[in-house]
This record gives sequence, structure tokens and C-alpha cells, in this order.
Amino acid sequence: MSKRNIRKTGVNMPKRIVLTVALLAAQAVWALPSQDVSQKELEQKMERLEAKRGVDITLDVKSEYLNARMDPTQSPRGDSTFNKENVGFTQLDLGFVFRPWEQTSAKIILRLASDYQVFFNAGAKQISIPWMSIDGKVGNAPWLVYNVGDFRQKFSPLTLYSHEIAVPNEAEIFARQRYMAMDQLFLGDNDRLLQGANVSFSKSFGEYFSPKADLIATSLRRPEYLDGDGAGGFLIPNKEGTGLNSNMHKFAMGLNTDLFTLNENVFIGGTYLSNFDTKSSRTDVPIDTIDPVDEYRSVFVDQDTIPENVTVSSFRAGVDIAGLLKLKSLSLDLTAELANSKWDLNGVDQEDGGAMLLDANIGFSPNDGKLFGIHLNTKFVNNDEHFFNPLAQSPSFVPTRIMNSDKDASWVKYGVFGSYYSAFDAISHYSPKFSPASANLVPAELYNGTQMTESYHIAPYSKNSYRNGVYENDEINLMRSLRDPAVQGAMDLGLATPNRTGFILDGVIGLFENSVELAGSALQMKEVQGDGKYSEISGGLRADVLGILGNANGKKLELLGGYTLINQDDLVANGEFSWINFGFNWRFHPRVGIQAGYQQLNQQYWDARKYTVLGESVNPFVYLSNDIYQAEVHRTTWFDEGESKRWLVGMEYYLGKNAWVALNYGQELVENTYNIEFQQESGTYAIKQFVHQFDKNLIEASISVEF
Amino acid sequence: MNIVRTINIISVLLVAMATTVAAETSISEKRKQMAQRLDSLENAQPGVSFSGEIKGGFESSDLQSSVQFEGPASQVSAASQADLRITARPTSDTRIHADLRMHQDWQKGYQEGPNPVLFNWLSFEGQIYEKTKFELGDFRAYGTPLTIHSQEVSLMQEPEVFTQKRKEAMAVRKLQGEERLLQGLQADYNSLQMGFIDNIQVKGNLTRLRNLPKSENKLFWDFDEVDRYNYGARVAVTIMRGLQMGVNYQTMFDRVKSSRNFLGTGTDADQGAAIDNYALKEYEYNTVLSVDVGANTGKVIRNNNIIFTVDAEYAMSQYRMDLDTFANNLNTPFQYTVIDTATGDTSVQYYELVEHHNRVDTVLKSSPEKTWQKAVGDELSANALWADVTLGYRMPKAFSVAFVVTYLDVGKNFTSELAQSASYVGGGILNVESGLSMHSTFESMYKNIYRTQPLTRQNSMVNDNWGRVESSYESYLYNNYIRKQYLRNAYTNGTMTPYERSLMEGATNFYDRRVDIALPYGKATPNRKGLDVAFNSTALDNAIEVQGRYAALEEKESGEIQTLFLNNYGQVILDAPMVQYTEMEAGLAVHVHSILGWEHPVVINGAWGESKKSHDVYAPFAADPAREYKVTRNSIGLKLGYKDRIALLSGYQTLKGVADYALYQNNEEIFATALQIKIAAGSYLTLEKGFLKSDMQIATVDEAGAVVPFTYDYKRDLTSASISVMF
Repeated sequence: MSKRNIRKTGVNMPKRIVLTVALLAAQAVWALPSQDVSQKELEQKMERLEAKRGVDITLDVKSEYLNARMDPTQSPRGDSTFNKENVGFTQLDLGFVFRPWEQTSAKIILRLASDYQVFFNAGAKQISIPWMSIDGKVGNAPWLVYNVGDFRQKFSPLTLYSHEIAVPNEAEIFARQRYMAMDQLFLGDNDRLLQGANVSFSKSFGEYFSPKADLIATSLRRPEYLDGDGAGGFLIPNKEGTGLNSNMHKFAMGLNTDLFTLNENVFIGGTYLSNFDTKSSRTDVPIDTIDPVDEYRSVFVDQDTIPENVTVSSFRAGVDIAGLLKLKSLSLDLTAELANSKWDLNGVDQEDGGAMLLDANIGFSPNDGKLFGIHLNTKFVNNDEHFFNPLAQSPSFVPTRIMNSDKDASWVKYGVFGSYYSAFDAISHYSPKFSPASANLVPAELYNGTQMTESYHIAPYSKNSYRNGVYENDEINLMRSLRDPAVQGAMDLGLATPNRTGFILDGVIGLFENSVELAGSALQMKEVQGDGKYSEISGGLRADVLGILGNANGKKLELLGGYTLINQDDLVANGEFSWINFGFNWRFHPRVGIQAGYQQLNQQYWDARKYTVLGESVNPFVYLSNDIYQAEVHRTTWFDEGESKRWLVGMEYYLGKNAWVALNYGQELVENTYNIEFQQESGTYAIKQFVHQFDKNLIEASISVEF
Repeated sequence: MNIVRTINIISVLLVAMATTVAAETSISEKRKQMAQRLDSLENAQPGVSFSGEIKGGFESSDLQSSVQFEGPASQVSAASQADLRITARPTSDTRIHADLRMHQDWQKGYQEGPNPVLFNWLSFEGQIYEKTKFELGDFRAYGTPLTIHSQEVSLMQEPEVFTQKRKEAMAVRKLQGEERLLQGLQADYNSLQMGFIDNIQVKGNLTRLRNLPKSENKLFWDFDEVDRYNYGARVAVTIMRGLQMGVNYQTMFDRVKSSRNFLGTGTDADQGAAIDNYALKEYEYNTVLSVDVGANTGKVIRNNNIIFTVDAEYAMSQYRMDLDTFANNLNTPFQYTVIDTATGDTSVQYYELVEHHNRVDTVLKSSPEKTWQKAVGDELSANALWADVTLGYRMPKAFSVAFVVTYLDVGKNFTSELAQSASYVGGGILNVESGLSMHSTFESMYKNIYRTQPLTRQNSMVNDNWGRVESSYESYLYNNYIRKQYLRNAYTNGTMTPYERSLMEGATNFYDRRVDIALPYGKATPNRKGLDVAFNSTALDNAIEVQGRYAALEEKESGEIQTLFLNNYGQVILDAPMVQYTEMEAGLAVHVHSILGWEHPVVINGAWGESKKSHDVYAPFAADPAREYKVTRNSIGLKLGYKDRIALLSGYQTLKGVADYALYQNNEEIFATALQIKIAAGSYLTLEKGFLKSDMQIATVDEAGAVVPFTYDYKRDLTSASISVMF
């Protein structure tokens, strides 16, 4: 039966019942207040029936087995720690879309997660709800769309946007790992994920007038009290003034309008965003300052007691010249955006910032790119050091140690400064339900509160470098001080990165219907305030041999290679980072293929990248060595140089985009050098160098199916 | 699609049913049948079906007060919540319901742990040969007012904007109407027509009321120290369409053996320090036997315009509480008194017998054997009687009038657990974090908060003065990966044992008794005697409704301890004061659109009520203002609508007066106005604004120990917006 017929009978049906209910209503005098079913209840039952308009069920199955084994040369925690971590899970995202063909529908995603084990855990598999929304539209060609609950939205790179990391010339075998980790949080398309209400209006009133408007209202934080260990909040350490919990309700509201004219080839637009704490909701709860588990660790929780208010306004305009001139094979467009931010810490501190983005595209692809096409994009950025917009700048990638984190326990939270950090691990791996084991897990009777149920250590959490949160100013500053320059580059917060001025140039030449792609990019930036300088250059070639020959019939033989060189020189990180990438993908049957990838990252810090943001009280590098730990005295640590390589090779069964079954084997080989300045017994300071060399052997089996 | 076709067929049947049986059955029965048909319509879908509701929105409460408070003034709940019912039909006669509740508070500040799904209903129900219905698992139990009953708060002509809120809060606890929620098995056999007998009903229930904890995990208090069960039955016969007689039996008991598996938390003080007492348990036994009769002459004479019914129930109850202690067995035979010959001091030594395969040894022990020792309590018996007479007449399309006269005579010790457990308890909901002592019936009745948040040391365990958990037993919760669903809700669907009920009734600062003062448990309210008369009439084809109620009740026996008094003649006597209850209510509703023949609804309704609780004439009590309780309620409601698409609901209610010891005076007001827009069938956008205000006078004790009144007020501004979709 077609959708149309369903609706038709659907309307006829309730009328008949309505008639019956109405008949009853007319005779309803007799109902004394008693236990009877009331007319109202009857009507509600009716309405519930009327409201049934089917359900659409979606499934997204992911299963992954990853075995990472490492044997480091120097283990700060001795040899007793685990050398091997196995991640094995099956995860089903069961999506229900209720009333899918209606003007208003409701969506719930139930995430059913199961570890590969049938011992302790068999009776308690986890179900959670990562998505819940009400989505509606008005009009047959909807001119008004609204969402309540979880929603995704983006306005422009300087206003509402989620910057996602890009690895140039990444082999597909690695790109899939990254996709799986990001998909856990529904990241993608640079959309920011928010919770609240979103209303979008878009209607064309002819050639000259097509307005678009969006309104958002979201709740960003609510007062609640996280545990002192901080891991339920961020897996990063705190510093002075950084709120890892919230004790005020934080909201954001925004209005975005764009006005298009001349067949939508010319537009002007503007955005206003306000991000504020409600002072009257402040709820103070004193929190432990001493960690009861480990006296050497401090509890990194500060109360965030000062309301933070941020307003951002932007103006933008754009013209599609090729569109105006109706040139089919030429693309030529230009957009410009100016934004302004005001950050106010309840009068205690206040900063105004500005940002500018110019974006131009030029391209030529005659004959729909059948033989060749060329595309050039250039951007000019000028963001001053005080430009602050959490809705555009909150990073979606915070480099985090993932596999073998038990090797150095909670020091995982120091990210790039953790002793076994590797960029490959942070980018590619994730563990949706990680349950760290505790030495205190004793099945004994409770007697002094330290035994039996230190459930913090046995309860699961998700290990993932990808985030979809919206953060505060000092939180973002802290994350930036822990950034991985080799992965995040100069524009670690995307095009809204503060304190940057310069240009970015991207070019791509495609041949034989894009069977061959030659891509290059260049970036030249400097700090607006300060002496920081950044440059990046990248080039790569991708060629599908079967595509060039034509008539591939779903098969391909793709070769990929590229080189990227990143130079950074600022107070947080300075050095030279180079990437070498190779990829190989031979799909000898439309469904079956062999994939391989190789990546090499060389890091050379010119000057010490000092880990000083935490101040004197905490320094993770004491754990690099037992000797120093014994001395219990530490000052400054820095990362000197590193060389990482990885390769992965495997078989795949290909089902479609983002749907596959694969079995891979590979290795990660990492060698990092660190220096520690420490106080000797004599009272003088000395520097000691440590070389941390570790290899990881990876066995990976993954399944991703969406339907 | 099949569903649509099935619904179509059934709706045709429904119309037929409604017109043919109209002459014979009463409207309320028709409604019930209709509701059942609609239910079966929902159930008629083969396989698995999903239904429920999803809601998203925010609700804020901003507090101002004449006194200083430290906590936050504003509280916002912004969240999405879904109730999902999964129904599976393995056969055409049976179905399984599973209800899931999902709640997500809006926040993107940091990653929280996995958000759990709450699973709050599982039932297997169906019918065998159409005559026997059964329910297994969660079920709604229905019985007579003295055996199984759940009293819903009743307010005459309550403005609709508030009724919706109250139903919403009750729905969180799955409460609806006056059915009691139980878990176990319920089976109901109805013979239907058998010769001159219209129906023979045999119904039984077997339920478990409480469970013991299964390990030493004592983080929460959702368990009991005893293992409690209930079973019961009803047998009823209906003849001549309107004459019915039934016998009902319910019994509630604790299982001693299984309860003893768990050593509870009794203290020495319970039994005196002399006994080294380790645990104390109360076992409660309650049995109710009742006979009910009903006569509906309207059915017998088949005149649809006259109603004359008589219903009555007489019940006998028994109650006993035993105390069980796990204590030193001082009568153990294996003890010796040892005399130190040098000093002459005596001491007691204990021995244990250890059996070997060929001999028995005695082993010296340091303390006497501990055993469970049960002290059997006194048996309390009481009777209860109620009788209703309903008399009414109607002239179709013109007017109707009906009187219900109820006579009540319930003994002081009448105990019926399943009819005397309160579903509305009370308690603070909004702005609790402010630390301000607030007491508002309207807040408890109409507001509820539901949220999920990480379970941490800070929000779940006992704190020291600094808000920290001390490193003791309480500090073992180091977890913030677990998210727990927290709710603040004044309704409960649990049952209370008679002992617990007596404790709760004493907790006046918690247990809200400013509504339903005279009959908090309906007809099963113990220690009441008197009359309750209700009047209900309509005019102009239901366009005008007039209602009234007058109740004059008094205690059968005094609830107070006997003391010496001076009576009216100046004589000193030993007596205890008796409490009298007087309740008066009057209500009016005018459906303006019906009078004027408009399509768009315009309804105004209002009510006035006064509940008085007074002691008889003894001077010491008459002079004590705290013993003369009076609560006055006023309400006015308005509904303006545009077809059924848009409705503006508005309501204002006041509750003034004193209802318990802790308060001298509490004058509260609530106002709400809500705009409801129907976006599609079962989908609404609601915007609401209102306030909640209280002027309070509470009793405080000064340094000299004298009771002095302390006056303060507070106001809460309430704003909310939400969108909901039924599916």
C-alpha cells in the first residue's frame, strides 16, 4: 500500500471512532465521580490510536576486535602491568522513528553494547540512549523544520560549527578506523551536536527573495556534581580555574539569518549567539581535596563559581559569480565573514575579539570533469587573540591515549604528555566500554570503605579522543595546551582558531573522471599577538588504475601516496612534524578486496615543549621513571623528539560506503624521547633523558553495517 | 497496511456495539467496554507493536523569599523523555507488555557515562476461553473499597490545567485512577449468563509485596528486611441484572524463615542494653474478610432515566505484629557458672556440642549462642461498614439530579493494607537545593522532577559537615560512570504495612494531609463514623454542572491517650478528646459554548471547600489553636479553545489554613496558564507560565523553650515549554 493510501484510510478510520465517542459523550450525564473510565480517558485512548502512524526501524551494527600488545623498554610502573589490551565488542544502535511519514516524528536510538566475554558480565549488558529527539516539519515542501531534544546544526565556520581533524592522503584502511570512532558520537559533516530546540525556516519567494533563518536554544550544562577523580568529566587534568564540573546551568541561544537573491547566487547574512551561565542556579557542593585512594594524586576538581557569558555576532556576504553568469563548467565564488566576540567573566575579566574569514573558490572542469578538472580554494584568516566562541571552537578531537592505558593507569588523562601516547592510537582507536581493573577489587566484606566496591575502577567508561561537547574558555585553553601539533596543525580549533592570521591554499586536479587525483595544500599563518609562526605543506597522489582503464565494474586498484610537512613555532609547541602516507586498495571482486596502509610520523621539537600548564603541583612525567618517582621531586618535563610508524594490511568484504567486514593485522612502532629536570638530593637541578620505545601489535576485525 | 484495516473493521463494530447496547447498559459500563475495545484494538496487531510518548522541553522555577537562603534561587529541568511500551502478542489471546523509560537531561558540557534505560513494567496477560483473564508480573488490581483500593486525591472542579499536571506526576509512578499496582498473579473468571444467574465471578490474586536484599550492598533503601506476600480472592454472584453479592478475602503476611536469612540493622536500644541484640524485625500479619452487596433498580426496571442503587460492604479485619530478635540465648543448656575459689567471683561459661561420628565433644565458647527469638504480639480485631444509597433522575436534553448518601462506620483498629496505603504522600519537589524549609501541597500535588545524573559520593551518600564523605563505610562509592535516574515525586505506588502507615501519619512535616483530611484512605479510613452526602446535577443539556458535598464524621474511639479533664459541669473526669471532621464543598461548571451553541469551547468552573478537624468541648483542647484545624480551598478554572486545535487553560487555586501540628498557618496560592497547540493527532506544543506562593507561620522554640510563631513567605515563578508526541 502506498504512503498516500495509508494516510487516506488513516483519516477515515478515526472519524468513525470519534463518532462513537461523541455518542457516548452526549449521554455522559450519568457519570458520577467514581472509578469509571472518564470521557477524557476515553478520548485520550482514541487520540493515541489516531496518533499511530507506523514506525521505521533503523539498525547500525558495529563490531570490532582489537588486540594491542606492547612491550616498552622502560616501564614507569614496573613490569607488573598489563602488556596486552583486548577490545572486543558488538554494538547495535537500534533506531526507532515513530510516525516517520508525519509532520511530527519522534526518534529514539537505543545503544545495545556487549563485550566479547561471557564470564562476569553475561547478565548485565548495557543499554543506553545516545539520541532522543522530536523532529517536525511544516508544509509539503517543508519551509519550517524543527527539532526538540538532540539535534545537529551548523551556521558557518566562525559561528556554529564543529571542526573535525583531517589527515591528508589517509589510506582507507586507517580512515575507516577514524570513522568508527567518530560515529560513536554521531560526529560528521562539521555539525555541532546540541540538545534543546532548533527551528529552521527556509522559503523561496521567487528569483529575488529567498530568506533562511535558524533559531537555536540549548542547555549546555546543568548543575551537578562530578566525582573527584574527574574521569566522568574530562579525561584531562585540571588547572587552576578550570571547571571540570558545573555548578551553574549554562544555556546558549542563537539566531542565524541569510538572505539570498538573484537565484540564490548572492547572499548576505548574520548570526547572533549568546552563551551564558545563570547565576541564580549556582549550587555549591564542597568537594574533596584529598584523593582517598592515592595520596600522591590530587583530585582535580575546582568549582566553577564565576558565571561566564559569551556573545558572538557575525556578518557575512557571498557571491557565486559562475552561477550568476550561468557558466556550467566554471566555478567561481567568494564569501566573506566578519565576527565579533565578547567574553565576560561576570565583570571579573572581560575580552573582546574579532575574526575574519575570506574564502574563494575557482575551478574548471569541462565536460563534467570527464577528462580533467581543476579546483582551487583559498582562504584568508585574520582572527585576533581574544576571539572566543565555544560553539565554533570547542574541539571535536582531544588527543587521548586509548589502547594499553592500563600500562600507566590514570596518567592517560595527560594526553600527548602521557608516556605511551601515540598520534596513531589517538586518531584511530576507541573502546566504547572500558572497565579498568583495580588492585583493590577484592571480593571481601567491606570494612574500611576501601575494598569491595571501589566501583569507580570497575564501572565502564568510554575511551575515545573524539568529543562532542561545548566547553568554557579555560577548558578550551587547557585542551589547546595539550594539543598534538602533528595531528591538529596550526588551526587546531578550525577556521575559528584565535590568534592566527594568514592564508590556506588547497588545490586538486582530477583526471579521467577523478580516477586520478593530484592534491596539494599550503598554509602560512602567524600569531596576531606574539611571535608564533606556522607553515604546512602537503602533496599527494591517488590513482585508481582500473578507473583509468575504464569499465571497472565495481572493482578498483587504488594507489595512494603523500607527504605532509608541518612547522610550528609558538609557546605551546614548536618543531617540525612530517607525515608519509601510503595506501593500497585492490578490490579484485566488487565485494572482496585487499587493503594496506602505511604511515610514518617524525616529530622533532626544536625547543622543549614544556609541560608547565599544570604548575608545580602535578607533573605526569614523574611516572616516566621509577628513580625520579622515588626522588619525589620534579619541576619541568619536555618532549624532545619522536618517530612513529604503523602499517596495517587486511582483507575486506565490501558492502557499500561505511559498510564492510574486515580482518587486518598491523604494527605500531613508536620511539619518543623525553627530558626531565629534577631536583637532586644535593638541592641542585639535573636533567635526565628517557627514551620510550614501544611497539604495538594490532589484530583488528571490524564489521560496520547500517540499514 | 493491516493495522489500519483492522482498526477500520473494529471501529465499525464499535459503532454497532454502542448503538445496540445503549438501551441496556449504563453509560459508565459502556465507557468501560469502549475503553476495553479500544485497548483490544491496540492489542489486535499481530507480532510486536510500539507505543508511547516522547516529550522534550524545559521547566524552570525561580524562588524569592522574605528570608535569606543560601542555595540556588533558580532551578531548571531541561530534558527529553520517552516512555516506550513494547507489546508482543505470542498468540491471539495473550500479550506481553514491557515499558521502558528513557530520560536525557540536556547538557553538552562534558561526556557523561552511558545513559541508562529504566525498565518499569513487565506483564504477561491474556485470556483463556474468553471467560478467564489473567495477568502475570506487574498488574493493576481492583477490588472493593475495604479490600483493594488506592485513593486518588479528589478535588471538586479542579481546573483542568492542574488536573493534567497531577495526572502527569502520577503517571511517572504509573498510577491512574483507583487501581492498586501489584506484582504477581491475578486471575479473573466470569461465567456470564448461566440460567437465571447473570454472572458468577471468581477472582484471585497472589502477590509479593516486599523482597529482601540479596547481598551486603546497602546503597539504597529500596528493600525491606522482611519477605512479604499477599493472596486473596473474591467470589461474587449477580442476578436479575442488578443484584450482586460478593465475598472478599485478602491476607498479608511476612515469611519468617526467609526473613531470618538477612540480619537486619536493629540496635541495642531496641531491646535494652541487657540483651546483646543484633537484629530486630517486625513481622506483620493482616487479614480482611468482607461481604459486599449491591442493588441497582435502574437495571431491574430498565428505566434509563431513574437511578436508584444501594451498595454496602461489611468487613472484619485482624492484625498482629510479632517482634523477632537475633539475640543471646540466655537459656542455653550448655552454660556453667564457674566460681573462682580464690576470690569467690562467679562467671558464666558457654559450651557448644560438636558431634563426631562416634562421640560428642564440648567446646568452650566465649559468648552464649545467638538465636532468633520471636515475641508474638497482640491480635487486634475490628470491623468496618459502609453503605451507599444513590438516587437520581434525569430528563434527557434538559436536566439531571443525583444524590449519593454514604454511611460509614469503621473501627479504630480496622486494618486493610491494600486499601489503606496512601498513593499521595507529599514532599518537596522544586528548589529543594535552596535549603529553605518549604511546605506546599500544590507543589507536591502538581509538580514532579525527573532527571538522570551521575551517581557520586556527593549526591548519594551521607556527608560530613563539610559536605565530604568521610572515609568510613559511606565512602565506598567512587563512581561517576553510573548514571542514576532521580525523581522527586509526591506519589507512590507502593504499599505500606500498617506499622509503617502509623509511623508516616505521625511524620506531619513530611506526610501532607491538607487535602482529603477526613477520608485519606476513602471508605477504608480507620476510626470514622458518620455521613457523607454528595449532590450532582446538570442543566441545559450538561451545559451547567452543580455539585455539592457535605460530610460529618467523627472518630469512633479517641486517638489520644486518656487524661484528666474538667467537664462542662466542673467535674474532674478521666477521658480522651474525640475528633470531629466536617467537610463542605460546592462546585459549579458552566460550558458557555454549549449554551450559546459555539463550536469553540469556553468553560468556566470553580469550587469552594472547607475541611475542619475539631476536638470536642474539653477546655484545654478548645483553647489550643493548634488543635483546631481548618483548611479552606477555592479554585477557579477557565478553558478557551479553538476547535480542538488550540486550548488556553488557566487556573487559580488557594489553600488556606492549618492542617497539622508543625504549621500554624499556611496560605498558599497557585496560578497557571497554559497554551496548548495541537500540532497533529497526539502531538502538542505547550507553553506555560504560573506561580506558586505561600505565606507561612511555623512554630519555633525560643531559648527559654517557649513556642513562638515565625512568619515568612516565598514565591516561585514557574515557566515551562514542551513539545510532546504520542505514538
